[in-house]
Amino acid sequence: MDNELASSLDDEMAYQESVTTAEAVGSASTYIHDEIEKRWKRPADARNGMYVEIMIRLVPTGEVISVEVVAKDATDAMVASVKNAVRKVGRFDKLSELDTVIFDANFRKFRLRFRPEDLRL
Amino acid sequence: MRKIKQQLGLILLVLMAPLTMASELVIEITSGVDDPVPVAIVPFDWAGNKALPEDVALVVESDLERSGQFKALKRGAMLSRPRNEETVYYRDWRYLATEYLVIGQVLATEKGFTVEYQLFDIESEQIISSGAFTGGRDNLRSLAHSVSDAVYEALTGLRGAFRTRVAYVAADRKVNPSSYQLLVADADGFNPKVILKSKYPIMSPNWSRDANQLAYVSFETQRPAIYLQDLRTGERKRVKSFKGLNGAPAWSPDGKRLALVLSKDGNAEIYVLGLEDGKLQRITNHYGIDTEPSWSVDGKSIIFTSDRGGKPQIYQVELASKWVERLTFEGDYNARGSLTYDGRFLVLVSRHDGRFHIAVQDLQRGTMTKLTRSSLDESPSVAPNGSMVLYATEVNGKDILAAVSIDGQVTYQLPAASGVVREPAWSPYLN
Repeated sequence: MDNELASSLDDEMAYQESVTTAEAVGSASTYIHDEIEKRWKRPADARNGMYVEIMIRLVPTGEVISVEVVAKDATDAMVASVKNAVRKVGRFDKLSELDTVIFDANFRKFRLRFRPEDLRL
Repeated sequence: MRKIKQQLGLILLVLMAPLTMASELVIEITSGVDDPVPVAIVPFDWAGNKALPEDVALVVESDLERSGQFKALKRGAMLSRPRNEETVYYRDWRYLATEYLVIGQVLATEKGFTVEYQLFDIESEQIISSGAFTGGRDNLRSLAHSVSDAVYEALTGLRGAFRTRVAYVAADRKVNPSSYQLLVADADGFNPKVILKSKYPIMSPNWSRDANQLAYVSFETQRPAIYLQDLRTGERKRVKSFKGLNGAPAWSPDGKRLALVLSKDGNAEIYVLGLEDGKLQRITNHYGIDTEPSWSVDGKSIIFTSDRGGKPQIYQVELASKWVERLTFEGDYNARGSLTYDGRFLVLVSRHDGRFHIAVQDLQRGTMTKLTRSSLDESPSVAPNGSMVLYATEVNGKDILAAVSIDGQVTYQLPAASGVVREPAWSPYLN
C-alpha cells in the first residue's frame, strides 16, 4: 500500500514536473515566436504558401550563434527576410533565465518554420 | 483572437513535441510585420559652388516611400546630418526609431557627376551596402534612382526598378488636327521626352527586352501599321504590313520575335513574326476575336484575350503544339493579361459590377484579387521586378497614369500630363 502510494506520488510529481517543463518550454517558445514575429518584415515578393525553415543554435545567454536554412520553397528575398529577422533579435535575453536542463534539451538548437498565411496574395 | 489561436497552437505543438519526436523544437511563424520600414536619407553632401540640378536624397526618399515599404524620416526631425561613417552617431538614430540610414555625397567629374552612398543598419551598427554611380550632367536623377535600386535591393532582397522607364501615349483631340504623342519618361513620371509626334493615332507601345527599342502601332499612313523605333538613334522601321488590322505588337523574351494581331485572313488572330528572317507564323485559328498577345516568361507560349467563349477571357496558347488553355473563369470580362517576371501572377483588367479594375490572378492558387478601387482602369503594365503595376485610369474626369503594388496595398499617381494619357508600358531593366 505504501509502495502504491509512493509510486502514485512519484507519478504525480513526474506529471507535475512534465507540466512545469512543458509550460516553461511553451512560454519560452511563445517569447521566441513573438520576438521573431515583430521583426519579420516580409519582402514585396513574399506570398502565402511560401516556406522557409531554419535551424538556430544558441548559447545559454540566448545569443544566436548560427542560422542555417534547412528547407525552403521561397524567393531569395523571402529567405533573406527570415535571416534578417533572426539577426535583428540577435539575443533572446529571457532564455538566459531558463533552467539549464530545459535550455539544453530544447533551445540550444531548434527550428523556426516561416510560412506566411496573412498576406493578401 | 488570431493571436490567441496562434499561441494555443504553439503551446500544443510544444506539449506534443515529446510524444512525436526526440528531435528539435519547431516554432512556426505565420505572420510578420508589414509596416513601412523607418529609414532616414540624409541630404547628400556636395562641395560644388552651384546648386545641384537635383536633390539626390529627396529622389531616393521619394522612390523608397513610393514603394510603400519604407517611411522616411523628415529632414527637420534629424538630430544630425552625418557626412561620413565617423560622424554617424547610432544612438541618435536609434532615439528617432530609425532602422536604416543612408548618407552620401555628390562629386563633380569631368563629364558629370559621381554619386556615392552608404547604407547603415542602425541596430547592428554596420554598413550593409555602399557604392558609387557615375553619369553625365543630365543624369543626376538617374544616378539617384540607381542609389534607390541599390538600397531597395539591400533591404528587401528584391531588385529595385526605380531606374527604369515608362512609355505612354498622350492625345489631345481638342486641337485641330488632333495631336498624338508617344512619350518616354522615368518610372516616376519625371523627364518625359517625346519620341514621336503625329496627327494620327499612336497605340500599343511595347518595349524590346534590352529597353533600347519600342514597337508601336501608328495610323500615319491612314492604316494601322507596326513600327519599331530605336530610342538611342530615333531611327524608325516599319514592320511588314498586311491588309486589315496590324496591331498589338509584343516583343518576345529573346528579342527575336514579335507577337502581333493581324486580320489578313479574315478576323483578328495572333501571329508571330521573326524579326531576323521575316517569317510569319499563324498561332491562333478561331472565328472569335483573338487579340492583346503577351509572352510567357520562357517565350514558349502566348497569353491573349479572346471572345471565343462568348465573352472576353484570357487564354494561353503553347507555340509548339498550338494547344489553347483558358486561364480566367471569374467574371464575364477579363482582358489585357500579362505575367509577372516569375510567371506566377497574371495581371489583367477585370470587370465587376460594370466597373473595370486592375486585378491579379494567382496562377498557382487560382485566386483572383482586385487591386484597384477606381472604375475605368485599363492597360496594366507590370514593373520588371513584379512589385508594381502601372495603369491608365480616370480621376475626377481627367485621364492619368497611376500605379498599384501587386498586393493592392499601395497606390500612387504619376505627375499630371496634359491631354489624355493612356497605354503605359513599363520598360525592362535598363543596362
